[in-house]
Amino acid sequence: MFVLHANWHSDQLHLWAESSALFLKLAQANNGKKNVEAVDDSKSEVILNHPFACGEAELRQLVASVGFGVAENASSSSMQLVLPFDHKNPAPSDRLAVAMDTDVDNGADLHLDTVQVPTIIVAVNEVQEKLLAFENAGGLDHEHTGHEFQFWCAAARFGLELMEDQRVVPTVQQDRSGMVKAHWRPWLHDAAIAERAATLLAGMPPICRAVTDAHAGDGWLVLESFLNACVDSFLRQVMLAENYVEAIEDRDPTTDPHVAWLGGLLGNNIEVKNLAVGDVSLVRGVRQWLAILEDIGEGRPMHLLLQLDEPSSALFTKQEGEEDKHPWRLSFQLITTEDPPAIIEAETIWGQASGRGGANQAAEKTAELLLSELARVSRLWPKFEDALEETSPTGIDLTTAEAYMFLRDIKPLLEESGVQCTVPEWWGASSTRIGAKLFIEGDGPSPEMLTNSLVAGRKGGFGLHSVVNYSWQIALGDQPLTMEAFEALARKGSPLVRINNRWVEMRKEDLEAGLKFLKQHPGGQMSLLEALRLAHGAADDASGIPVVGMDAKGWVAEVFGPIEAVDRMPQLEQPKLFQGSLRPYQLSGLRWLAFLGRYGLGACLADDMGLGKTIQLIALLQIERQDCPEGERVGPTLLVAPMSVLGNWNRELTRFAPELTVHIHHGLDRPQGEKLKEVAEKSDVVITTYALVARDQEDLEKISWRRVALDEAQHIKNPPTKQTAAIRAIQSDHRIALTGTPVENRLTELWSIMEFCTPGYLGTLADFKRRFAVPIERHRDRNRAEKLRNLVRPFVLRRLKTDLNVISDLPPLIESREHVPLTNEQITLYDQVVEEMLSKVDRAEGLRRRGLVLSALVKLKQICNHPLHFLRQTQLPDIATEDALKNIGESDDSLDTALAIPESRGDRSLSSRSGKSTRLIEMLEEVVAAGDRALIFTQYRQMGHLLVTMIRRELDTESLFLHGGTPQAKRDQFVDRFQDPQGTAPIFVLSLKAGGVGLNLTAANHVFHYDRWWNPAVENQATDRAFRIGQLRTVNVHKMISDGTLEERIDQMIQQKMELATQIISSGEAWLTELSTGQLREILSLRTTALEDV
Amino acid sequence: MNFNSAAGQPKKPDAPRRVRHGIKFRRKNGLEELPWTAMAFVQSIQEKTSFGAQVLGMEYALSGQLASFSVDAGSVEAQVQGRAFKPYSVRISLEHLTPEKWSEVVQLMAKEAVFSAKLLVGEMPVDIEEVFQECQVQLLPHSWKDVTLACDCGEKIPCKHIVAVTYLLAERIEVDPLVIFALRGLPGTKLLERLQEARNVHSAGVSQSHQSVQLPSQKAKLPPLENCLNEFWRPGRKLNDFQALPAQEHIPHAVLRRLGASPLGGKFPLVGLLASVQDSLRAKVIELRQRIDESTP
Repeated sequence: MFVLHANWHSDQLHLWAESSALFLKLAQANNGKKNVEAVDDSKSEVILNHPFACGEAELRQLVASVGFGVAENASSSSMQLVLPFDHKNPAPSDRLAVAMDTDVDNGADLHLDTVQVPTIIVAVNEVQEKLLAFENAGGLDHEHTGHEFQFWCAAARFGLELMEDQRVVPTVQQDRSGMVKAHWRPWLHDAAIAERAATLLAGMPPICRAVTDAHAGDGWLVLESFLNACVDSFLRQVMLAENYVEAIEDRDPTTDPHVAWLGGLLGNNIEVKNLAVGDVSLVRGVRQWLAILEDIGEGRPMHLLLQLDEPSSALFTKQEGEEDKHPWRLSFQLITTEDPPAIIEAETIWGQASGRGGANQAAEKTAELLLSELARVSRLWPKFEDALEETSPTGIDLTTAEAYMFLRDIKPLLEESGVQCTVPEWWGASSTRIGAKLFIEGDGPSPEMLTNSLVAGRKGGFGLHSVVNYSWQIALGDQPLTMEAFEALARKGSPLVRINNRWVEMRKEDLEAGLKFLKQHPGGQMSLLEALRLAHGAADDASGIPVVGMDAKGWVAEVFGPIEAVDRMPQLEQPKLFQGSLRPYQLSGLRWLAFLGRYGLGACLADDMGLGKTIQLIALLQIERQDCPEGERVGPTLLVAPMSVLGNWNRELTRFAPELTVHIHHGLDRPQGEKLKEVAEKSDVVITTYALVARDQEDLEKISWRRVALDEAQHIKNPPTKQTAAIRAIQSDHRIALTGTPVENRLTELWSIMEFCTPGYLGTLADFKRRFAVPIERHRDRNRAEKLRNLVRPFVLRRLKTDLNVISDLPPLIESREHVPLTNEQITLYDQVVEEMLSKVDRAEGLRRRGLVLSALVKLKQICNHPLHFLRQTQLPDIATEDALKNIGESDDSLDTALAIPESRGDRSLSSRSGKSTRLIEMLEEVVAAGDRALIFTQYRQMGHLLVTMIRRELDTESLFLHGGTPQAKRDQFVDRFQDPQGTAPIFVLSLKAGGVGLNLTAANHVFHYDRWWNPAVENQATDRAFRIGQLRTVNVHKMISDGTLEERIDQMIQQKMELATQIISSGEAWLTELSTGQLREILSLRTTALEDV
Repeated sequence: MNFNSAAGQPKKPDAPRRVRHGIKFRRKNGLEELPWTAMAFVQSIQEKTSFGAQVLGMEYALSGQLASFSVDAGSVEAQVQGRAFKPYSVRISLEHLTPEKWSEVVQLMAKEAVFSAKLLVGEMPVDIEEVFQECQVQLLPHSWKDVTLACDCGEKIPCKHIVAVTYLLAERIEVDPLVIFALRGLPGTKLLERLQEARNVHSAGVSQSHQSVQLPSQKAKLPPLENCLNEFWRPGRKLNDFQALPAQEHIPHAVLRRLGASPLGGKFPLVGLLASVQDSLRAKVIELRQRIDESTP
């Protein structure tokens, strides 16, 4: 095991690595004895060789093995880095620490020191390509890749973007020896680019600036030098490949400074030779020239504001045409840099400034400023010079062609130069560009017939695969054009035309594409799915012409019509039998699910965690039964969920919809074959796990399901697993996916879920990647992202806790109980401990008996937490762990295995041993993905350690850990880090009695109580760390309870306010010790209703 | 020297002495249609002025008896040539606002863009007086009591000299209304500066479009490495923001076009060559990206 790192040092990208083997050796060799090899004894300062950095040979080998393609002859080198040290040796990087399970405390006292590491160098001209290819091949996700690679890849992409956008300039520089050198540089000095560079810099991991070259410690210099080198090298490659140097071959550099300069730019040579002796004019001239770019008029109190107005419509006699009859007016104004800015018309300025002897100083100054601004912009567009010829210019008249040029070409340039432009609002709106519009008409009965939410899909004629009639029409925005009108436009050749008294943009390429398109697409029939894909530009067919939308008739209009579908959906009352009350947004979610269900259209409900996806689905099951005509029966819904939430589903169904028949298809004695079919058909809901769907696929396929619903639908993975394939194979009228992860940001996940809900809709995965995922994720393509959003909008509903209409419905605090099952391992250990204790307490009395009960209690709570929490603790001989260990095949070896290095990210081998931690990790994944923050409280420091390890390893996420032994200074530091909006640790684990009263952790909006105090007051005190003044969001409190165990029993007692409850609350667990053996058995032993694992 | 012995005082001629290049009141329609700001001064002073002084004062003003006229010092200072050998010194002043009051006024004005907009073109905003009133002060004089007048002629004040200066002041106010602020202790251009300063403070973080572009190196420095030991290896959250920023629309040759023609004086068509270099560059980058994208496993 090793961790690969990269540093930009002395203008080169160096790769180096930490070795776990060397690290272990070091740890074993000595507790803290210095492992020094002096680099140079003669120097007073001894630089340590990094004691666990890979040597050159090993480094070469491993770089090749991870697929970071470096040429075999890549040169090796070494560099000095300033790294965090723990005592006398470097501390391992976070990646290595996770693998080695060290430093989970993250409270160690670190300091900086210098070490030397062996490196190999990536050739400058390959840096960007290698980094990005590595990223593309998934290299960043490996646990052997240092996190800083994410940064370098982002920086490499930034460099490419700058070049693609042609934001590079040639420069010249004179060094101390007097040599003049030419370089290509990225131009970073424009507002938008500088902002982006600053954002990138803010994301730079400190390791990247831990170098000892000229840029030591200065992140910006490091980044700038990286970009400079990449850009210069890439450009020179391009020019060598295209042989640009030929252009100046016969020119004399001594007489022409352009030629001399180019001599240092067009090839590998960077020196500007043959300048006249002592000629510094080139250096100065270039500097002045480039300074023009920086001039956006900063420091001036006012700036030019240009307003373009179309000729007044009153001037025209006809509705159409007459494009060249009347001029457009571009008027000059000044806008102040204040807020709100003041806007001053040129007329006003001249009116005050001129005529009366120039005594009005303020007006004079303003007028001067207007003139100098006009002079500045006339550099960008000579047309402005017309204005400068007048004494008091207020604007210029433009022809239609000039107006178009201004809009299309000049305006963006002006804006970059700090000039604001106001243009007619139709400019840039999609409604004023030409495009193809799709008309679709669905056959089949009118949906008005179906006044209830029931099964239309089965009755045929609906669903994505139904056949619809379609035709294409060329349209301007939403206005369709006849063929004649269109051809007439094409003949005009004007880029801005008037139609129906409106100006529209008419691009030549659009016209040609439009004509061609109409000839190729006369119309016909196709499936609704294809039609929708076409209408959203998700299919190849509509090449060259933008698809501007669609119009639908018949039932299709109802679902996909132009107005937001949800608004037009019939109002729904909450189902009569629902035992509770749905919040308004939940009702609208229900309405949406019912509406799509009616047409057999799949739906993905992706509400934020804590908004109640579960009860929306439960209400759906109820409402369709409520609407079902007398004598008919709605088929069963197959609900597939992770093992960890089965119990929760069961509980919620019983609570909110007790009339529904629920079958939990789980356990060794679950019905099979015909028996299952029989049971299922009598049930309203059959709940099972992802694993079991694959196992019982054959039986499940035989059942006629109303619906297949997936909870935590992100479990549907790609490449498809056996589970995924099995789930997709099960037929039903309707499909629903529930997920709390932000699907729109994880495109491959979105594809997988949509492939389940609406198969085929997003095309094949390869097609989807090419068309959407790559452009959006890699190239940040806004149009594609918008298209994709429109495409999936009918089928995905995601509300955030921060949405205005949701927020008003939410209480400030939502408390929920997360019931989780025990794993087999936990069950075995739990039974063992209970039996052992019961057999002993019978024979014991007094203090000893009390001791036995209490110690068993602690053990049981540990087992509920995690088997390792218990096993690592248990060294006392009087406990029956040895048997327990044998029973489940556990041994000391397997303890190590449990902590061994996971194979890849997403490996859940540690958390999956405990029901609670499985669920916790699932939930935390959503928390982290949504950018939220969470507190986790546990009573046990050991459990805290385990959680931190788990979170690091399985979620690749940093967490903070505060316990009774954390010194005050560290506490403060942790709190600051957690509260810092830029902080990188979104999870805070606390094992403190009362959760450290006084801590203010309002950055958190989720609070997990991993184990229970039994005392609501104590728990509330902990919760109040997040839920207190300063908290602006809803806080979700999750109390984790292991089903069937004493945790559940005691929780019930407290909730039901049983007589015992006050005792429990006041005395903690002591009351238990007074119970008889029979009572103890009753309370402690596992309930049979608890779900067993399979 | 022309001394008149009878009264032991120099004898005054019947008419005032002429002043070469004297400052004249040039308004064609006299005091008609003066702006309200100027009228405030005229009326306040006229309240206490005898008819004779008003007439003679106007005569003085029209014939250019003012040897000098200035409002630069925070009050009106003028030299008016009468019948005496030396011109009389006239001073018209208003009580200056305290710096604290000015700050209050500036803060209040900063809240609305209209003040800035009007003042920038040298106009007096119509509701200016309300702003001052809100600060329990006034800008314009409301009566003769608000104005301090001085003239060393020894006649009853307000004398004709003061009247002449008043008319010149009115004329000046019409052309440059902002002089009134100077009379209250803050010259108009200074007021504008203060106002814009105050308004930029109001707008911290808004409307970036005209602030100077700062490279990250000029902005807040990153914390020293010593303070980053706990988060040494991980990218900051901002890296996600960086990835999420949408791409901007490409403007062909934006940088080159903003540069314009080379000032270096070479004959070789430099900009043209650079343009084609940039086109090759763009094509190559797109090619490289496609190569990388297509290698997606």
